[in-house]
Amino acid sequence: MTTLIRLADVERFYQAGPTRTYVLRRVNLEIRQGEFLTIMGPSGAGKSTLLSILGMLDSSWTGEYHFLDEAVHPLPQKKRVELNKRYIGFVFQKYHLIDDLTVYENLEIPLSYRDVKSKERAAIVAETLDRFQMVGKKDLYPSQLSGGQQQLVGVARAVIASPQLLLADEPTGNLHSAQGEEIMELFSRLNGQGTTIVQVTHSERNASYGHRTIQLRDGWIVGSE
Amino acid sequence: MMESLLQDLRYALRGLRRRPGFSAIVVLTLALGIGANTAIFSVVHGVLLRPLPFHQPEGLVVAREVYGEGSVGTVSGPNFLDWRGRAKALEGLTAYRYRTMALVGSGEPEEIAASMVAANFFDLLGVAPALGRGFATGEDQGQPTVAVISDGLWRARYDADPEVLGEVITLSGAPYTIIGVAAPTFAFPGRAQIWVPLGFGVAQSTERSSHSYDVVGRLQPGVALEQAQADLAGVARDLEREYPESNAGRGVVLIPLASDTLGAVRPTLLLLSGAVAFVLLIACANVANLFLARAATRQRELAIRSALGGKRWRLARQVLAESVLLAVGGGVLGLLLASWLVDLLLVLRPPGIPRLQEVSVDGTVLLFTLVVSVTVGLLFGLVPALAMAGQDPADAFRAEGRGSSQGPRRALFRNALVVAQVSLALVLLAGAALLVVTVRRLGAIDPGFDPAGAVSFRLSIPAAKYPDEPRYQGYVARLLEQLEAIPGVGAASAVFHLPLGDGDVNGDFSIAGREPAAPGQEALAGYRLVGGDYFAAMGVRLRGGRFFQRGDGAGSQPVAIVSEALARKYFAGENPLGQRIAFGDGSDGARWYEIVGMVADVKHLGLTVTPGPELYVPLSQLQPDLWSIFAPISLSFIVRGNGGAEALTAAIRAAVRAVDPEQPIARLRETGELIADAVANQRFGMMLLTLFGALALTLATVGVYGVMAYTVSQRTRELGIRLALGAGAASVRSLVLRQGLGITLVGIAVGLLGALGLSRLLGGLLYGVNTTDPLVLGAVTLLLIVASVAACAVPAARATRVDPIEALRSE
Repeated sequence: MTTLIRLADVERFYQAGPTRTYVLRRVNLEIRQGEFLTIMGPSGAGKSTLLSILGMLDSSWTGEYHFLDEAVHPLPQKKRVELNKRYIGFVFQKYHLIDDLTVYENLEIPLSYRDVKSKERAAIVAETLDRFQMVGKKDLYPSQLSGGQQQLVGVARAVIASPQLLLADEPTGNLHSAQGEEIMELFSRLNGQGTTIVQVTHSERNASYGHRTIQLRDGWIVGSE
Repeated sequence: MMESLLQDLRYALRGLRRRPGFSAIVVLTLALGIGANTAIFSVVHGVLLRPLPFHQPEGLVVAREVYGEGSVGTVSGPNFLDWRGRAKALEGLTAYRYRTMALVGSGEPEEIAASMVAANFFDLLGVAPALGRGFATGEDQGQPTVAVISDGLWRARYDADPEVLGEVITLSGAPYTIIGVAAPTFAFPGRAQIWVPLGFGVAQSTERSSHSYDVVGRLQPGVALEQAQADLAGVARDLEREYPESNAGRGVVLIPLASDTLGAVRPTLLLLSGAVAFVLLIACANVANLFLARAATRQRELAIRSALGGKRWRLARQVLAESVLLAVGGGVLGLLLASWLVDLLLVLRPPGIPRLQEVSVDGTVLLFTLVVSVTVGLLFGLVPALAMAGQDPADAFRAEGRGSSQGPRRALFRNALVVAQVSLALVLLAGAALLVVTVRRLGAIDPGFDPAGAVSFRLSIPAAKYPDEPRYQGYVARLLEQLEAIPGVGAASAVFHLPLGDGDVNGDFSIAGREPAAPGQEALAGYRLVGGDYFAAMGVRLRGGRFFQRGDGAGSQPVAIVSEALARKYFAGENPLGQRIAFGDGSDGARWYEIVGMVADVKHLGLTVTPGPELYVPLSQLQPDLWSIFAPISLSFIVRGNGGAEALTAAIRAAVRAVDPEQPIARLRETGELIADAVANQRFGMMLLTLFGALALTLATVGVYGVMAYTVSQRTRELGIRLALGAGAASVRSLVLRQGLGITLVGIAVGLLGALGLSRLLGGLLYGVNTTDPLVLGAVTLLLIVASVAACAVPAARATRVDPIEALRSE
């Protein structure tokens, strides 16, 4: 399998006066295309920070980051946003749907940011609504959906622009077990269709859906299995 | 691009609809600020900025005679004609005189504002009448027979009938043919309703010592004001040499017409512009605070959008769309408010502001509102938009996780905005309070007469109908008789100038038995020519001797009454009663008047002007050669009765009609309005500043409330911990109140410093109070403290109701 991501000596710290607090220490990691990777570790281990760096949502780190053999670390933020737009989808623990927009409009946003034409956008959104069986809910606002339904929209939104990489930060953290399982099955299917998935989770059960798990502790990768 | 822009606008509208409280407060706040600014800008634009309604108005100058120690005055007819004939730097000069005339025919007799103008008047100003023609060369020689009427008069009196040309009207008893109707925008000089030729006769062209013409000239193309001034000054020096008796020490000054017309009103309008700018700044500070609070709640949304691939500019545009929409909404509502405010301002008829008829909410004003709205929108949208859009989404998510979105810098900025609001509000309120005190102090001034129960009016008695003194006096005597016969009337009287700014005639006088005064050392007094029972009608108090009596007529011993100020100045240590005085130098043929009474001083020239010496003589005993001075002046009447003003005014109209049905009555009103007029300028400023001050106070109070409410919401966790640790309600309440009051007190301190600068803006309007008046500043400070405590009360009460368990769980 081709290497999708390669991190070398990536570090992230916060400066408070003379004190540096490290969140990630010398992280070296390779993720192959089509892999389903799980990141685990206790709270404060740096899991979400690592995911944000992978997703190019965080720009204040040091080290080297190659994405599809393109060096990310020397790129300006604008170029990183371009890479993010082209290749990456994000699923959040708290769903992070936009409250003022309907399900349809929430799904439309990533396409709109990718300058997809209006007609094409409508077709893709309609197809996605159908695929995720949410056609009847397209005009509802997030506040009118259950947690599971909201996360379903979150996943649909993450994959609507057909990303090569799907990053999920505790995607089932706010869901009850049946809903969580449904989401994980969905991830499994997407991975089967070729999408690389990196998830952060505390759940061993969720981790079992993946091919590989790395353990983080105090910012260090302490294990990989 | 267009599509995504429309999408941004659509989503922004949706977002605003979903937050009706936030949207309404922002729109209303901006509407108040923008509305007040647009209204005052309409006035400033209509009065100061719009070019005068003449052809190339920048080339027009006013020419005046300069004499004595820099006194500036009107011009004599011969001097005008010489200036016109000799000045090379001027393309032309025209002259006019302002007077009132009685218009008879086509409806009720009416006193109208007329202007007697030289034949080249319209040509020099470069304004052709909208209908008919202006005056032809030579039409200003001899008895005038033609007239141009104003658009307003044409519409009001002739129903805008184009056939009005050729119609003959009677003006002050003489026939005039209407030859033109002026353009709707043309109103010069002042609020002239009709223009007639000056009628330069022999008298006007030889009487070099009679100065009664206003003169306007037009500079030659390419000639600067200074060159023209030098040119005309040369002509004036020549005239000094040629006519030393009349022209010695008389120079000339040229003033741009725009400064001359608008110079006096500029400070008032600038004061009001400053006041509304303060209101807008306060409104903006409020909106900025609201936007900052909104920005904090939008951080999550923008982080999501950014994580989904939104570019920085696209995200900024999304935030901007919302702020611009709100600002434009505020602008539209502000425009409605402005049009209402402009109507209100016009109804108030602020005193001394010219060109009010040109004030309207027009295209320029619309543009002004649009620019202000969009600027405000961009200003308050762009900064938070860029700040938010530039943030790493990961940071925003982390901040959300910590439940804190108000960093110390942002909190400091929000507090600084409230400090600015409070300080600006204090300056405005202090200005309003100073004017309130001024108006009260002016109202408490004893004018020297008692206006209660008296009604006054003015007549322009037509010279054509009453061409000589006997006929004029006969008419006045008959009218006074009619007025005295009105049931309930205690006294009726006539006078050439009512007190408090209705005009003045003054001159020198001589005292029998004293050496003639050296030139420049003559005794001076205001000449008060009165008919009927003047002192009783005006309620002027007698200090010694007696008032005039019925027997003091044409055939009896001439008598005079002097004011206390005259007695003090010219009869110090002597009893003025029984002394004899004469107008002028008392030379051969002078009429000597015996002083029979002394009366209290009357504030003739203004409530705040110290009364000077005044000399009263009966109208029927006027020295014949002085008649020509008084004859052209409108005569005022005062009637004191106990039947109530309404009944009295009706009876007065009937009495005037009974004596001469064609005689129009002007300014028929209660005499108390003289005092109201005298303080009108201050009252107008006071009303507007009070209105804007109240607005500022409201907005600042909302600002304090907004910040404290937001702070309490941000400190919920801290308050929960405090309560969990045993803090009582009183201690939590005082925590919030102390913080709110602290911000207010800083604002007050800054505002007090700012209020010291008010003297420059308000100095000319204040009376009996200065800008450091501790009572005024103390009262305003107290008002702001009370408002601030009230504004903090609700958030403080909310803070005491925080449930510690809920607060800590929400973390």
